[in-house]
Amino acid sequence: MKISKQEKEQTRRKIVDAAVSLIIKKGYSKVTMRSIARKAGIGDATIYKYFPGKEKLLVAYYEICAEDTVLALQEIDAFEEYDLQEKMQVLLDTYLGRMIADREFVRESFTLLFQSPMFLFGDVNPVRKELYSTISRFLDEAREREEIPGFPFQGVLPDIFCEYVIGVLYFWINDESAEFHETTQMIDLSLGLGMSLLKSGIINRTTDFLGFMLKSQMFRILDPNGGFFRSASDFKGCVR
Amino acid sequence: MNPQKIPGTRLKRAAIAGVATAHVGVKHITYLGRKKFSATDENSRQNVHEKEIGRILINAFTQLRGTALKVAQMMSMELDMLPEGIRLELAKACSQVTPLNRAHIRKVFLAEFGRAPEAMFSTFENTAFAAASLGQVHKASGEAGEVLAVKIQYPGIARSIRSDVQLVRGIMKSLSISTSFLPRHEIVDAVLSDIQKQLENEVDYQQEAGNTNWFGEHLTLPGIHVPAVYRQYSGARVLTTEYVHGQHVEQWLQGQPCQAQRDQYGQLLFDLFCFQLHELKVLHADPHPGNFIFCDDNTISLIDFGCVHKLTADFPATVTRLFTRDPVQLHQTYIDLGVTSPELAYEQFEKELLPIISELIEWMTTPFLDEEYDFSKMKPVPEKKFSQIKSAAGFIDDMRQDQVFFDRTFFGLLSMLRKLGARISTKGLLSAHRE
Repeated sequence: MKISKQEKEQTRRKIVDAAVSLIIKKGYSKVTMRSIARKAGIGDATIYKYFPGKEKLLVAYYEICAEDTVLALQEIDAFEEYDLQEKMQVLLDTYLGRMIADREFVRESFTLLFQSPMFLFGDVNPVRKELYSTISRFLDEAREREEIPGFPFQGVLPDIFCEYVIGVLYFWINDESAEFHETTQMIDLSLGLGMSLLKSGIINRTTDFLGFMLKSQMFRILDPNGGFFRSASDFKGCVR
Repeated sequence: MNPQKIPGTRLKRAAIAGVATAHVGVKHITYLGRKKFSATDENSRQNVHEKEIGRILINAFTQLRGTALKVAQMMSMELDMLPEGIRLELAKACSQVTPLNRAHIRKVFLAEFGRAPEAMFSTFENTAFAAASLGQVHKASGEAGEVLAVKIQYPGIARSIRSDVQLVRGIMKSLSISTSFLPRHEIVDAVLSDIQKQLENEVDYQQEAGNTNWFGEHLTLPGIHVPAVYRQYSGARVLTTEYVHGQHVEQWLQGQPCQAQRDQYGQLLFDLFCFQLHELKVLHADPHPGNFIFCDDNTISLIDFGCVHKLTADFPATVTRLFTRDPVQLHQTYIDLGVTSPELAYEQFEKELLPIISELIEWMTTPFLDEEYDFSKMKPVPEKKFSQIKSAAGFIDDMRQDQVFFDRTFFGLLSMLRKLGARISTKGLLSAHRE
């Protein structure tokens, strides 16, 4: 019998849900693939068709939360009219809001996942996988509306923002303040700072400056009457 | 003895501070508008220095945002003993409070009601039309088309008051060690504790909804309107009331209203104060001019019940006895109010205190000598004594809370009446006492 894509997705989510509630109850190390399969109501072998191991389950959780976040953003009225900071704020609020019920799980899995070799070597980044294109779109829209200027190396910005999301996540799981008000404040401050950096065009000026320095040094080096050649021949002279 | 000199002992200084506060409401005198700093060289040098400190403070507070900035703002109002330069810089904080954007508003609504504002209201304006304590007010319309004012609180702010005030306290403390321009840290501490208490009250929107309803029910004075609360659109961080069409006093005055209109509104404001004092014995104690909306039908809408104060039963009758030039009655009233110690003998009072406060007493009692008064004739608070009050103001700890709230509200009223230049009957204030 062929399983539809939708059914497959449902099962995937069912397994992740089961894993999350078991890990919250017993801790990561005490939960087996088998017990997760039981809890999800699927066969012991079937679970491996979806996830080769527990670690991939953790990855899937962060992916699902990000997928849900992207979907939730699409539902917001006139979301395209929000400015870049507002969009990022809603994205973060929604992402954290999606995880709030599983916060204990997130605390435990965060270190396991984001400090694992597969993450550190860039093989797996569930946040980037799901959110990269959304954040890129936000940035493109902001540039089109001239909210922020364009600048060289802007291709790295979505990556920086994805890393930032992980940073916020880390802050949040360690935030013991009531209603997580410290996270709210931190997001406000850091996004505000980031936005004013982007808007000020300081990145352009910095790259211009670096470019100028580089060029002027190049000319100096290439100048036959001075710079590098002169130094080199002087050096040669000394050696002789 | 030189009456300008501050008497030395603590008892006497405490007495002066108490008396002076009872008369001028040191903490809220800002409402009356003060003389500009005189620009002699020495003064302007000091002024520049003070401004610099003010700027350092603002920078520190801006880093903290949220509550800290609000605290800065309140300190600029409350701490009148702060040097002018610092106060001016702090006052600028008013316009710098981070506005809530659409993302914040969404967050608050989802937390309170599980729904976004656009799902709750037929229309919702994303741009706020007014600032509120640690939040802002938006216009919206309800399902039945009713026009609403929706007050929204900065997310998480209610929870961070204590720690933010603590931060401000730290900054102020380190600054007061390194500079002589700030008041002693005990004073700053006392004021900060007061501000913290007030903020904690103000962020409790459920309590405010209750206060608003209570006033709506009991404030039966003709011509005064209290907007209705919409419970279905209100929660701990969102307070929705009916939207009031009208103008603040400044806007209203720009329309150059005739004297009769000024008198009419002035009388209404005055009667409103007397009604609260004598009938309700509860004060709407946030006399910010923006809380009185002058409506087209010659009525006033009273808004913002975040700060109300219930007076002790005997206070109104006692406090009105202060409006006298009879030194014997004054002396006794100060004792009754707990402003001065009963140990302060009349002779000592007459010899040492009276000369210092006599000008203030004259200023304060003038509007109530006759049954009518023209507030356009009222002079600014006598400035001369101010430095003395300032230096003694550290000893106001024992001030009765009633007195503090009375001062705040009363001086707010006087400020509005002066602005209006209203000619009104002033007998209502003392009538309860005369009866």
